[in-house]
Order: sequence, then C-alpha cells, then structure tokens
Amino acid sequence: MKTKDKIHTLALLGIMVAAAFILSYLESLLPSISGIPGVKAGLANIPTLLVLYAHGPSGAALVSVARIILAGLTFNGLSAMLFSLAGAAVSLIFMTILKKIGTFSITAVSVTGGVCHNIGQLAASSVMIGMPILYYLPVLIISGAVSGALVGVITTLTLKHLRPSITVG
Amino acid sequence: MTPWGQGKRKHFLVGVHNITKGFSMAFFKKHDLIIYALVLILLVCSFFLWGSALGATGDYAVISVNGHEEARLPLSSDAEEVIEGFAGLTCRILIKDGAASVIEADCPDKLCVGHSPISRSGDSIVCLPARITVTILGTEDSEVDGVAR
Repeated sequence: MKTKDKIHTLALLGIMVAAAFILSYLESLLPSISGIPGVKAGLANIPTLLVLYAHGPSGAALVSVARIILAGLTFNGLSAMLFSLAGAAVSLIFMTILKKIGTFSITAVSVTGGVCHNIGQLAASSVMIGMPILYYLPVLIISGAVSGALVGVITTLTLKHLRPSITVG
Repeated sequence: MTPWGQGKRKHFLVGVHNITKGFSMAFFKKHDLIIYALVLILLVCSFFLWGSALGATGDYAVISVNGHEEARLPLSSDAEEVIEGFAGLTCRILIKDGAASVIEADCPDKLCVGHSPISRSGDSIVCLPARITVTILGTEDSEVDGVAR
C-alpha cells in the first residue's frame, strides 16, 4: 500500500464524516412533515452510501457511526442516537450483502438500506419503550423506501461526478 | 470484484479506491425489481399487521413510562392527568369525549402534542424523549396482549 493511497483514504473518510455531520445538522433544522419521528429525507446517509461504493463496508461503517455519535452528542439527543445506531447497523449489513451480490443498482441497494434503517430503528425503540409500535410500521416502510431512492439517485450522480477525483491509480 | 471493496487491503483505513470497477452507475437494473417486489410485500404485510392491531373503540387509556403502567383512565369520563416520565419530562394527558390526547408536554420535539386524539383499541401516542406511551385498550384486552394480538 502506497503512502499516497493511505493519505487519500484518510482524507476521503474525513471529508465524508464532515459532510455527513453537516447534512445531519441541516436535516435536524427541517420541520418534521408527518409528525412521526423517524420520517425524514435521510440526506445524511449519502456520504455513507458513497463510501460504501468508493471504499467499502468498513469505511461506510466508520462514517456512519462517527456521524451518528457526533450528531447525537451535539443536537439529536442520546435516545435518538441509540435508535439511529441500531438502524444504521441493520441497514449497513443488508446493503453490504446486496452490494456483494453485485447485480443490483445503487438505487435499489439504497432503498433496502432506507427500509432496513427504519425497521431497525423501530425495533430498537420498541425494545426500549417496552412495546411494539406497529402503528408506525407502514409509514416508516414507505418513508424508508422513498428516502432510500432519493439518496440512491443522489449518490449515483455524485459518484459519476467525483469519479476522477476519488479514484487512485 | 473482491468482497470487501476493491484491490489489495491490509487495514480498514487503507484501500485502493478503484471505483471504476466492481459496480455499475445505472439507476436501474433488471434485478432491482426483486428488491422492489420484496419491499412491496413487506409493506402489504405491515398494513395487515396494522389493521389487526387496530380494533374497535377502546375503553381505557393506559399510560406507561418506560414500559411500566402508571395510570389507567376510563375513556367514558373526562379527565386530565400530568405524568412525569424519563429525565423529569412531563406530559399533560387529556381524556375528553371518549378520546385521549397529549395537550401539553415539555419534551423538545412536541410530536406527542401534535398527535391527533386516539380512541380505538390498539392506538397509541408515544412521547419518545419522556418515554411515555398512551395506549387505548378494550375491556376484553389483557394487559400484555393489548397490542400484540
């Protein structure tokens, strides 16, 4: 491994954590459209998905966890942080498997990620509050799929444009 | 395509970003339909689950903090109660015209206050920051199976 590549990786992950943090912050400023916690645009997941494709699952996990801890400690709150971590873990596992299979587009992988994120989050909050909140499930599946599609399309476009600058060798 | 990203790798922070290999930039591929179909099936199942959880008009509003039942108010008589939840956050819960709602809360997001009044068995209002849940139960419901029927 060339030193140049190591520096390049570090810089990429650093920039992506920063971008994810800022997107998290912007998202927390947006008013909740539906009044249901967990329904949001998911813009903060763009850097995670980008790193998943430009680097790999380990980098994506790092960006995701760093972003959630930073956002949790600064503005999202600790309980939201725990729910997000559960959602991120579930979604990253499923996205990694689908990416590994290799026959799906980035958009479809992202849709899976969005749905899994919301289901993981709902499961975590059910365990914490002590009862299943089935009431939210259909809404969270729809919102996860829509935001996942949005994130997937934006990530694909970003990767197309960034390809020359984040490719080494 | 190597399973964990591309190229040779020694450490998780070290990798060759050869993103031109290993995946396509298409917005849609034929196999995506499998994923979208699965999501649709999941959605339909969740609607059925949702439908079975919502029964007829309930009789009691059960207020719980952190999963422990704090109060059980009959929907037949109007009442108002202040419940203290996690981290000292409180919710003011109103029973009026056979429906329960949260009319005042000092949690930061106020999502519970924005929720419309609930009256049907299985309905619930959740205040996540205060960890307070208001759930409607019917007389025939046991304490545990109220929602997970």
